[in-house]
Amino acid sequence: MGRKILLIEDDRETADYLSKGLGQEGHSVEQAGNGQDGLFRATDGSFDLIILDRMLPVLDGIAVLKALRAAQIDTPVLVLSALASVGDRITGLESGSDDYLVKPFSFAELLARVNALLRRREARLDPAEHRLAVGDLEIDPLSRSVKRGGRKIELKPREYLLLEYFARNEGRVVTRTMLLEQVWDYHFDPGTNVIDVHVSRLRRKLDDGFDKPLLHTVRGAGYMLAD
Amino acid sequence: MRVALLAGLLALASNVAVVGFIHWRTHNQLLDALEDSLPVAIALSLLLGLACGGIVAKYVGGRIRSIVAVTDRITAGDLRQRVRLTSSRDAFDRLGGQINAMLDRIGALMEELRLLTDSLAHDLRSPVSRLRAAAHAAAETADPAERDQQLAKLIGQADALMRILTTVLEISRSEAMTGRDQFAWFDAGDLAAELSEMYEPLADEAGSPLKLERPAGPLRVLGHRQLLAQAISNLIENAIRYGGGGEIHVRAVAAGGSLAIRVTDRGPGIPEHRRGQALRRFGRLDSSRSAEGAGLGLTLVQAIAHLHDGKVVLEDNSPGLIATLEIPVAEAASGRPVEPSDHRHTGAPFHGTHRRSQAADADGKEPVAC
Repeated sequence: MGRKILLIEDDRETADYLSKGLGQEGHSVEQAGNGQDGLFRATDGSFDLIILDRMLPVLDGIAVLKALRAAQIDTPVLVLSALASVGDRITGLESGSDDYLVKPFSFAELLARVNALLRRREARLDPAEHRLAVGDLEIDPLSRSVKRGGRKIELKPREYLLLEYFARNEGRVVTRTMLLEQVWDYHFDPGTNVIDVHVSRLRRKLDDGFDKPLLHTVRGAGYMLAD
Repeated sequence: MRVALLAGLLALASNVAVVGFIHWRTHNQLLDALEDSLPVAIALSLLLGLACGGIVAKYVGGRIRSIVAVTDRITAGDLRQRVRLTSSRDAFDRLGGQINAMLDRIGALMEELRLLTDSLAHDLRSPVSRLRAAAHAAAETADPAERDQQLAKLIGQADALMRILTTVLEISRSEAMTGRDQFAWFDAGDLAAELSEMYEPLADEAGSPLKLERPAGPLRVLGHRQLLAQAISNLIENAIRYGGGGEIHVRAVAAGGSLAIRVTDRGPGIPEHRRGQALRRFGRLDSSRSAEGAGLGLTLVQAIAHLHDGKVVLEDNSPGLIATLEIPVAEAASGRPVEPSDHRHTGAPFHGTHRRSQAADADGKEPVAC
């Protein structure tokens, strides 16, 4: 389960805190304290994931990212940044990163995103995933049909997208912000619990009438679809 | 003007004096007289010229000194000082008028900045003190489960604080016209539909049915899709929060070269005299600080409207509020991109109010001539 992660972050405190946390999750973390060093280490392409701070000494994060992509290195990159405006997030994503996380963030949020990115890489390497199954829940992405225990479940288009995203991250925590970004493609922070209401509607359709719930709430972090 | 007149009169007087002097002599004495009078005339002209120059220099120097005195006091920190204008409306008055207009603009900007920092400092006090109280409570709690709960609350409050700061930043960004490089064409009707669908369950929980109206065809607009999504969702969230459980309408319409996204509710609305306040930073209308939001929602909507050369209009829905986000969409139908920065300052109320004093000085009086 442990993966190789390169952490390019100049703030020692943040870097140590993240290394420790990710290490406890079983990943091996290599650190780089500036952009140039980070780029040098990243170019051997042996990492499963790169966590990249946007503002770095010597060579800034966006420049590192562009250089990496120009060198055809497609390791997933999660950008960390104190630049929080919607425009900054869009620029970050458009310059070739796979995800963008605004500082300050909770470790739970970071971990959820790291796991989702690692999962995506796996899925990319193993494309034979025509059907998704979680316990007695079956999802057919081609026909967008959903069954649980053999019984068909009717979902609205957005509910289906929500479920598919959960299923593709089976057993991993998915945060509200991740849902808003990945399922709705919005990059602002809503001031309401708009996402929770959608999740609880989906949960009613999935879990009502079954003994075993599949869609779980993870306190202080988000949600998880798991058998 | 007065100076020029004075100098002219003096020059004329000197000529008349010389000619008079010549006539006083008899004709055959002309040559002698000329011989005699030439040095006198030259001396007299020189004297009068000097006098004229001296008077003009004294006048010009005086006017400049009075302006410099004012700018000195301004440099020293007294921004209330203004250049005193005379009735002559000459070049110095025009200069003074420009300086005064500049000072008015600086004053208005500083006042805005002062209000912002004051309200930031003031409005951050309550969330920070709630944060502090939560930290204190957590520290005092012995029971681990209860302490976890307290800590979760504390993190929630820190997040709320961050959200306020992010919104303040977003407002400044939009007011500074940052983000136009991310403008793209899209269908605003689709966006309104998508957001209505997103908020429909939440509105439903609040007992407010949410209805969408949009034209059959596309409503193409050149804009920042993400920021406009945030603006529209702020309007919808407001309608859900303050709509009192009544019906909410989201309408996307094209009207006279403009695109309007109109969100209406059936709540108590905002009385006319307080609508301006509702659009200002931290201008939340209910004084209780317990209600959600920091009073930045509508300010952000307005800032995003300004970024698109548009505006926010608040009206009475009797009962309820009609909040309209209006954006000009020139050439949208043909799909030809228009560079919006050509008219970036038109229509934005922030930029139109400080243009006074130019018209008064426009009737081009010539500067001093001697």
